[in-house]
Amino acid sequence: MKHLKKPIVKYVVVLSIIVIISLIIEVFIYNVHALKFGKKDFKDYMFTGTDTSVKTQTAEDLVELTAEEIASITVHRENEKLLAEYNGEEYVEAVDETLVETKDSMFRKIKNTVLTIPLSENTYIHKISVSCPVEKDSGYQAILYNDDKVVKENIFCSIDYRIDTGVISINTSADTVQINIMSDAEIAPADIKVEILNEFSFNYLRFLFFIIVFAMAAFFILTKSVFWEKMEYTFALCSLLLGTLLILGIGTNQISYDEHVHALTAYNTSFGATIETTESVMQMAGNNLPAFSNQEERSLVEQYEQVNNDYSWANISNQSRFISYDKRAYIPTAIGLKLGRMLDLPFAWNVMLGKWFNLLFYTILVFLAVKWAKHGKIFVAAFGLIPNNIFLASAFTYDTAVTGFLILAVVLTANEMIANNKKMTWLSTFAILFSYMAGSLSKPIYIIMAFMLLFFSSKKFENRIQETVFKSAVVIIAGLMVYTIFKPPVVAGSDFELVGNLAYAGDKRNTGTSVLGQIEYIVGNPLQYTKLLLTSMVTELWSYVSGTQQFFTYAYLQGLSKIWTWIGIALFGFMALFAPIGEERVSIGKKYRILNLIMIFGMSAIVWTSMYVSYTAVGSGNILGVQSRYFFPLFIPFFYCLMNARLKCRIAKEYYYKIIFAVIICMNLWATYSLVLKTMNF
Amino acid sequence: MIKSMVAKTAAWINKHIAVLLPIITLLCAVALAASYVFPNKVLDTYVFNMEEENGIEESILMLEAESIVSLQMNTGSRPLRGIQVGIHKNSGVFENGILLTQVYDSGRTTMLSENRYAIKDGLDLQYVYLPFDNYESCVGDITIEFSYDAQGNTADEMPGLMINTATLEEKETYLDGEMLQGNLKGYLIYTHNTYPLTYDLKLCLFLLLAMTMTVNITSVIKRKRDMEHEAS
Repeated sequence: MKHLKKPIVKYVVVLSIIVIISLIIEVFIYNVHALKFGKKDFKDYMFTGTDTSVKTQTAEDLVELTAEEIASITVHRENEKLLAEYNGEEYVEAVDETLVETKDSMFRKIKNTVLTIPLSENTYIHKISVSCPVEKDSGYQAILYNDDKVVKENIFCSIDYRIDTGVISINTSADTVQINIMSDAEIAPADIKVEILNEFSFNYLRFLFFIIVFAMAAFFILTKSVFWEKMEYTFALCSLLLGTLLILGIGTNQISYDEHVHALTAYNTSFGATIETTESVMQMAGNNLPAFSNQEERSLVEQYEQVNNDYSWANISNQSRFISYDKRAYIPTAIGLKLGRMLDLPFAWNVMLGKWFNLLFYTILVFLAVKWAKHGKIFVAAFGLIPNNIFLASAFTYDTAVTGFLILAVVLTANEMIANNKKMTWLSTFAILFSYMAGSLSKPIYIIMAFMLLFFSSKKFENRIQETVFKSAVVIIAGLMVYTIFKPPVVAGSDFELVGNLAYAGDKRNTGTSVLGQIEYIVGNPLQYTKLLLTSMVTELWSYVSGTQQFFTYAYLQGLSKIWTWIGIALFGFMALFAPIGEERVSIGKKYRILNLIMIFGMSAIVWTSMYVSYTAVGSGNILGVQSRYFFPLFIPFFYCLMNARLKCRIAKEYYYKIIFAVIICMNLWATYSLVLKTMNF
Repeated sequence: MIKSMVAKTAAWINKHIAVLLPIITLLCAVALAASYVFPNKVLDTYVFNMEEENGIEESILMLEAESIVSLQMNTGSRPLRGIQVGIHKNSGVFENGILLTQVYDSGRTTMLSENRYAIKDGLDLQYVYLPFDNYESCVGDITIEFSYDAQGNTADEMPGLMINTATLEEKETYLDGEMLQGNLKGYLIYTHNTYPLTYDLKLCLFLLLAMTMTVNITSVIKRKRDMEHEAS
């Protein structure tokens, strides 16, 4: 009993210290403005447009649209034209009277309302909140003066028309604040409210972040053997902690790749035959939920979402109970969403629970991959923990299933490659093929990776006939799956004729795309295309290595600086080449090394070509839409090529694994802090 | 307890896998063949003329007794399963009234299909699905005729069909033989067969086949023979 009590007491003491330190940081560092400047009467910090001291002025203005906004308008027009053509109707362009088009650009007509607020003295301003009723998304610019000199001016904040409020961090002292509100219609000064927020505000998310930081540090210091004896558990712990923090930080902000599309599919999958779609879900499906960039806005956004998540006026639609093959990757998320509804969770928490189940699913898959990897467990675990993977696992996406299952498949394939003389068993065949198939359900092109099984030597089979039938079965499975790209097997509804009609196939997010047209172009210009393909591949690879393009990214939130990319390359290169003292590694052999490299190159070329065919305008001199995540399933096979039995480093296993985990975790924590917590929750 | 049960089951499966796998593979092949025999018929809905933009106006075309509204169209190579048109009751009760929908071939010589819809069953305005009997013949150039059979219903109650002023390619709407300056609104319903299980069963079949190739059935048979021989 005494033996048991001792570690429990130790952990309780450590946890208490962690909580106290985190509390101190939150109260005395992040709320120092409140302790120093927040004592003034709160009313002193509130102004309306009718206050006699506040000067107001309204004028008409033109604002140039961003390249993204212009592209969005152009793409929308192209798609409307295409739809009209498909429906046999005449295309008539809708007129937008607020839009001004010139030869080179597009502008939007707006009203600019200027408020000049003199403060009684030089006042420290932590945040500014501007509330006013607007019918379309608007925004404001804050300019701060001290003794008639500008002290800060490039402060811009958006005002979502559904929450009518925009809050922005300032952290500067000033004696006059100028607010320029840009809206589509004129706003009555009496409806404008400006607040300076200096009061104490306990940020639970930041507090949790520091608890996790210190808890992980304590875990590294206090544990030893778990890093190599139970590496899969270390992975699972890190994955769940880092992912949970991300999910809590991102909330309902839609920042992952095509997250609205995945969210809708997962949501629909969470119902049986009858789908109830609330207003909030419709906005989520339209990629149109109000976004937040701090705690104050988050609270308003979540209130808005909750009010509009009323099932009493939800839209009712029907679907087949049968979950088709391309939607099965969403089942874990759908279970989370269903559970959230059963527990009557608020909308935001329901969304987060759905994402958390996706994270759990990913964690289980990679946990099994680490557990079953006979060699090189560390780079399976480390790769599973890179920020991109944890981010995708914490979002609405099918990439989780793709990456998770393919990591598992590659690990199991490598196990077989290493045990080259051992016969295949029915169980390992099932596990390998099932993993490849499950990982390729949503992106069938990855089934090509299973072709590595075709190169297994005849020693792995009982006789020639069995070997031939086995390999033929693999080819047929791959063929069946790849065929679904061109002709989906189960299509219901009005898409029946459209889907599989190559004349209309092509990604509608870009203009000028046509699958058929692009294939004709490639066939007609094979040398030119080969040159374009190879140049694009080398340029892209070099852009990551040189740091001109960020590799570790959180989708649309951008990513970590090039220093982190180089640290990552160095870490993974080191990990793949050098084993620590006490770890036995085995090479997969020269034959499989060469075949793996050919497969990686071939798969990369296929990925590039598929983006050229479906996403890029016909005959374009660039290949658009290729993202680093498409190559994630190829990383582990690449590491296996570098793995060898000769090179060793003089570092003990304990420190070797701890260093690798520490670097990856720091990378994740820094990315979460700088890209998610700071930009959305402070 | 559970552990030993799992271990026993695993041992049993391992012992009999060489026999089990071919049987399961065979069953999968049978299921695949059966899945082709029982297709799942699904409806495809195509919207036509449901948007009023750029000055196009919506209105109700009153359906007087004995007047006929007809829609001429081409279904392409697929038969038309039915149509969904906007039926307006104009706040009437319609104890007996029937909307008669008849489908004719291009020359209007043969009636291909008919549908009778009791107007009282719908809401005041509802886009009602009117399925066609014998729909397989409703293919190519067809004329769909709508008429109102009052069946003793009060004369002041009259249903209407929703139309608008849009002109459409390959579709024309007529009232008593005269072409309207506009068209009916609605949805065209087609159908096609899907085989939801076949894709999964095909994959399963080849997965099982690959798995079967990793067990040595000949050695199992040989072992069994040896054991029988030893026993005798």
